[in-house]
Amino acid sequence: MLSVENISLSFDTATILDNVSFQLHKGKILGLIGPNGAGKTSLIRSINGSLRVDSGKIQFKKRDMTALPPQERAQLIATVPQSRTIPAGFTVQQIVSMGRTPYLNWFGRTNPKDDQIVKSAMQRTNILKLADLPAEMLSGGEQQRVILARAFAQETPLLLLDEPTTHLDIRYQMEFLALLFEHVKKEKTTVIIAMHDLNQALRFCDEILLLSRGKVEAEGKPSKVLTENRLSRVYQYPIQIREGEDGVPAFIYPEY
Amino acid sequence: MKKENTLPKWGLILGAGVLIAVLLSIVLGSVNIPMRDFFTILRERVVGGITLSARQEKYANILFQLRIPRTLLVMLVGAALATSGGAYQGLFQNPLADPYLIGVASGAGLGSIIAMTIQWPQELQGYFAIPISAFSGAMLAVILVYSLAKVGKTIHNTTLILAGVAVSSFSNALTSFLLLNAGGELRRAIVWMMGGSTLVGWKPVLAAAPYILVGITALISMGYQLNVMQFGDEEAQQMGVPVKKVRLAIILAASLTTAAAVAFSGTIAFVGLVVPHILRRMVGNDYRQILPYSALGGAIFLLLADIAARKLLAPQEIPVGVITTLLGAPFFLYILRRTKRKTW
Repeated sequence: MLSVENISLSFDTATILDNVSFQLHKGKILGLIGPNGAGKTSLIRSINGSLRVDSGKIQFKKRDMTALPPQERAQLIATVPQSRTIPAGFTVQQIVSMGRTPYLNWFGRTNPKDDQIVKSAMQRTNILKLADLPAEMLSGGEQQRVILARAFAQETPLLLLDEPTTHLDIRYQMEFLALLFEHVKKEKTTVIIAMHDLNQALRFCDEILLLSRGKVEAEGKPSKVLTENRLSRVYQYPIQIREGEDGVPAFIYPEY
Repeated sequence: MKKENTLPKWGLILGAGVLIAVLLSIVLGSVNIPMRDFFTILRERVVGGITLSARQEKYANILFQLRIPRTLLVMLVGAALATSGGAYQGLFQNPLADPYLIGVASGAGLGSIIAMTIQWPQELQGYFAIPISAFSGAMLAVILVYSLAKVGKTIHNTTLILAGVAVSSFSNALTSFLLLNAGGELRRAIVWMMGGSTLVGWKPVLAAAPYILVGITALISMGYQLNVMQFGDEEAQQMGVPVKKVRLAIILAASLTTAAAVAFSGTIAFVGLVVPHILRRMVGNDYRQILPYSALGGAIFLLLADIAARKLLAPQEIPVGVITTLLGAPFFLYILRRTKRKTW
């Protein structure tokens, strides 16, 4: 279980996160939504230790995440970052293998078991046939799957994704999310995924955390959190929700 | 899915290249030593039981007092500069990071000169004091350049080179100032600044070797961590790399290697730029390969440059730094043009 307790974070005088608390059970998928600048990326970077919070506690599997050395933390948390940086001169396989780093020795030598895990990660993300190609030559959608495969190869019980589909077209978005959720359901991985697309959040997530100006605005089941009034207020734009036949929200759209 | 190449093809080729370059460097010079005499002398030293002619005795003296130590020193220095250049490039994620361009070498030069004005390296203490002083200068320079060049999270070509030029010029000016006050040793120091080895015999080899060998070994051991760090500090940390420790270790090791090279052979620019760049074209961006191969490639490159330095205007010698700069500067412009267009 992941437990975030009263974390706050500020830069100079700007408050980025303000007393954020929530809990997430094993195997659940939490959709992190909110307007630009709400603190989604900062929350993810606080949980993975890239940012040092001013106060509060972050515990995963009853261990204090803020105190762990990088290697141990990397065995528990993998992150798919918002911006893709693919350095030149590495093959797809070399990059996916880097996901094994927290388990390897200083010289990065992989054993047959590591190689098997890397291969399986590439299979699950449909990039096995690209294994020997230079990764910087691939399309955006393929590169994003390489980074996802690297995160899978890290075999962590917690996976953080920061708007992973932002730069992809619709086909690649759906393909990416399908691959992701198939994997995490099977492995019972706990997932936090920051998203812009409210309909994707509605469809794929078990729980939603709505952030606004660094504060938790609402948290819970998608049908409870995603209401017209609340979304319209937080996004400062009239938003409507069409309900399905069973009376639960089915489609969210801005008023035109 | 390909298995990692287990046969180090380039390692064998470069290893053979080093052997050939060493052989050439030993026999060629203002006096060429014929191969037959060379092997006779070698046999006499190893097996014994041969009487050398007077001419061969003269050759033997040249070999063991001059050529062999010089060849070893040049090898060490070439390997040092190329390996630390490769490591700086990986660390700064910038193909133009060369120990000279980023000011580290000038800092080391200033450090050496400070030590030399106190104690010219004829005395034993000089052999300890100069590398340490050079190392301090190098560290100071790299830290200064790094903090000046960093804009946000990235280090751009322009800021890196500008900061490097500023720090270099400043340390070079201080170096010149100290040299003017140095008096009698001026000419030697100027030759040293141009990258001419004024130190002969075994002492400089023995003094430089420990620093350079330790530094190169440390750098080569960090190849994998450097690979992961190509994703940037934050992502590397998410993959379990202790980024701060690795960065500090690389800066220490690369500065130590550079400093030792500069302290014992002066200013030899562009080796650290040209060699890793060519190797990157051949073996890709895997630092586990680039760094050891740079050590070999740097040794070959500087040995050949040193032979040219001895032969071109023989019997007069050109400082080897002049040769490397004549070759390296156009190459630098070529890389600069390329990186303007795309990533490296």
